[in-house]
Amino acid sequence: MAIEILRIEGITKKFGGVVALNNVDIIVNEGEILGLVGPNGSGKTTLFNVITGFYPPESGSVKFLDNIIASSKKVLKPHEICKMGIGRTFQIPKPFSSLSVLDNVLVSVLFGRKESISMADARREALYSIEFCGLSHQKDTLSMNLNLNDKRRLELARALATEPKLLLIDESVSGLNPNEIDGFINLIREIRKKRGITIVWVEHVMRAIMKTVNRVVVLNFGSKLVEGSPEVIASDSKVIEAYLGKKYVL
Amino acid sequence: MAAQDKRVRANKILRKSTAVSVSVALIAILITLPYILPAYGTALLISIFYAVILAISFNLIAGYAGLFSLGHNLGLGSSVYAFIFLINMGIHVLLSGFIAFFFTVALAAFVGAILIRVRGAFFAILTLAVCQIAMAIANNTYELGRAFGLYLPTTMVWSTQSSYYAMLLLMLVTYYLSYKVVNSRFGLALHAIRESEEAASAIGVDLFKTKLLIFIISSVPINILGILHAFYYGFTIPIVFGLFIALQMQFSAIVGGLGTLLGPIIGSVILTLSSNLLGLYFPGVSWMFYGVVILVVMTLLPQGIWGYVSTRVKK
Amino acid sequence: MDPSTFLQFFVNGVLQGCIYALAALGLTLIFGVYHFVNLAHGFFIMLAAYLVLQLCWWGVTPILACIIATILVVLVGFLAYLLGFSRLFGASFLAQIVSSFGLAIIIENSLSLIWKSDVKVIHILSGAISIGNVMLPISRITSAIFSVAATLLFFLMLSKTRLGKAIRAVSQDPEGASLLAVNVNFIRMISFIISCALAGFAGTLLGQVSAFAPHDGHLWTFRAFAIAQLGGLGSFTGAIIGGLIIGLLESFSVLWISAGYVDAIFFGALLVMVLLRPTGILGVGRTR
Repeated sequence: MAIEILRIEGITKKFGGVVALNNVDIIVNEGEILGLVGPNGSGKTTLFNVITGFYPPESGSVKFLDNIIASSKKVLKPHEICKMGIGRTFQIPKPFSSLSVLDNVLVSVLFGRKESISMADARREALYSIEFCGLSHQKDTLSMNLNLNDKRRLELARALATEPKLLLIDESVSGLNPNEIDGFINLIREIRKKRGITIVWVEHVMRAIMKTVNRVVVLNFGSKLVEGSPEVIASDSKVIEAYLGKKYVL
Repeated sequence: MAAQDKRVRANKILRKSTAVSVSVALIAILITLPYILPAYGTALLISIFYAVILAISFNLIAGYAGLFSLGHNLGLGSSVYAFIFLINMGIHVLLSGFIAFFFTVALAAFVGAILIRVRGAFFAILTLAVCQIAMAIANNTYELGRAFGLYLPTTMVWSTQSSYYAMLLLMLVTYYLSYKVVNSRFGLALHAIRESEEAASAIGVDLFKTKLLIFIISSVPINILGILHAFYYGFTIPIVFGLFIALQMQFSAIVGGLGTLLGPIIGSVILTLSSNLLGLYFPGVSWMFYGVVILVVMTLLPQGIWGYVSTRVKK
Repeated sequence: MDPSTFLQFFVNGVLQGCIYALAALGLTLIFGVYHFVNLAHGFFIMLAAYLVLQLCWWGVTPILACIIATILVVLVGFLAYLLGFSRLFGASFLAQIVSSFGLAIIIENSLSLIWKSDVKVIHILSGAISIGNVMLPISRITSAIFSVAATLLFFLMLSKTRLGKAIRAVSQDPEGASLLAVNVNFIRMISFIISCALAGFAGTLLGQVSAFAPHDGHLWTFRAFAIAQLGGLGSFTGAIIGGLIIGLLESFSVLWISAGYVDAIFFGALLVMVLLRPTGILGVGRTR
């Protein structure tokens, strides 16, 4: 029996007159990697922002492990949601520029976990997270001096260091070369396999996401278009139409 | 790798011990200065210490937390007025001090809790608004002395020497406070907030609580300064809430380097010394001097003197 | 309170409010085009007042003095613009605040060096007329009339001329405007000049109605900001409404509280507005 880790029900989000999300229903099961795709402006990042408490929804609710974390009446703050066990990365990386990679992750460890932790233990945990994401050789580099690939890895390391049960990844591989993309795919697989973390992955680079995920949800203009396995989605005519016509062969 | 780590650590220890010995030497010199210098020299040093305390406090809220307060001298005015008012009511010095201190801390908590929710530019202008309203209240209330202000009984006013040592002590404590805050995990949170509030929030930093805490912490030295102000000058007038002092605070911190530990000290020393010297030969332009310096710094060296130096050293 | 007292203070407030509205228009224009609050704005106002004072001392006819003073303020502003003020657009918030304060301080200190720091007033028109129980000083009436005239001219320019349309376009959407072949940089420069002219002219009128001293410049800047914020930051109609409201609030505060709080009323209004309704009374203001 699959355990529901996240239940998004009827989420509607408006910005002035623009409907960014329209009655979206998504269920995320524990242990899966769920792909979230859709053309630009379809509302993927907005959905992440609603889940993590950055925007309150006009209607609907988001339940995390049976606790309501977002609804039109009650919205928890991002830091509270983080402590409950949801981590996220940002589409455009937001490193703490003048801090080193180690210090960046240290902030997560010190503040993102439910229990308090000593400085010595925190350093150790931060180093572990950095190593897991392959950034050990950069641990003392100022994060503003990292290239895009390492900045993206830092986003992951920071999110992982808060010991999340659910990880929301927002476009980690766009702009990377094929080697770097493969590296990321492996890393994401490791996250699920070794750390048992459920993942929802928003991505534009189709070949990356189709190879890795169990299930795909497609958004278009703020509504859920279809959901299913990668093979089914790739040959769905509505999806092809939404993306204006490329068929991805697995 | 191990050898390199050892060298890095040895370097660190060397740097730290030079910093400590230089500081100890400086402090020793400062302690003996009142015995060497003439009275106006000591007075000049007191105004430098005064400026440093203000600048460090401003730096904590604006430089490290990114909250630009145009009215951070609210605590200065409130504490000096509260203190002298209580003394004139016949309350014992120590009790007056405590009450004034806790009153101003509570005031900072209250004002901070309301204003922190507001964004950047508005936060700046609203903090100014609060100070101006306080100034109007002081100017118009009979019990607060109206335009004449409040006076401490002359027997209670401190000598220049005693004030000097009190100010020196407060300045050292304030610096130590800023050092501790910056190098703590709380300091990391502040740094994170300054660089990216969203990212900080997403990884667990409580924005409101952190900002409120630094707002209160950064006004503590200013609150104590108010009490020392009362003892040194012996009186206070509504101008203590004014924009003049707020701007001096700001400029000293920015010229020296916002967001660095030594910046506020360097900026205060340079600006206070030079405007005082300038005032001797060209009276009436010292204020303009501040304006010119700040424009020059913002154009050529926006990170401030020490800000520039320390980024060069890092690279 | 008897109706004639109420009427007196009401009329005072409206007359003052007309000039206030003019003073705030320039700030609103700069904010719309640059997204930046010019903290030296109040000092352009002050400078004009001092210039009129000096010119009148030298025997220049008052109306000519006002015109010359306005032109001089525009020149000073343009000089500042060329010397680097134009770079403040797009600069960090810190740079904008601190740099415009720097300019403000330089002007303030220059004013007190040249004209000393004591309080001055411009006496051009004296006497008053009475309508019923309401006394109307002639200087207040003429200042209000000129303010309204200048405001109407400004609105006419904004709505009827090509320049005005270009300014409105740049305020709302600079990228879109540049696509429509509007020279955005030129419009920005012109807007700055117009803002200085508005501030200068307002200064010539304010100087006849209120006493002034160099440090009041800051008060004028923030009063103008409060007015603009009250009506909705970026809205010209809002500036008018804000000006009238602040004028009335200040007038009645003299009656109901005390004259000493006049310079704090707009700060109080600002606090309340930003905390409770940041988009201003009309609800169209920008919250940056």
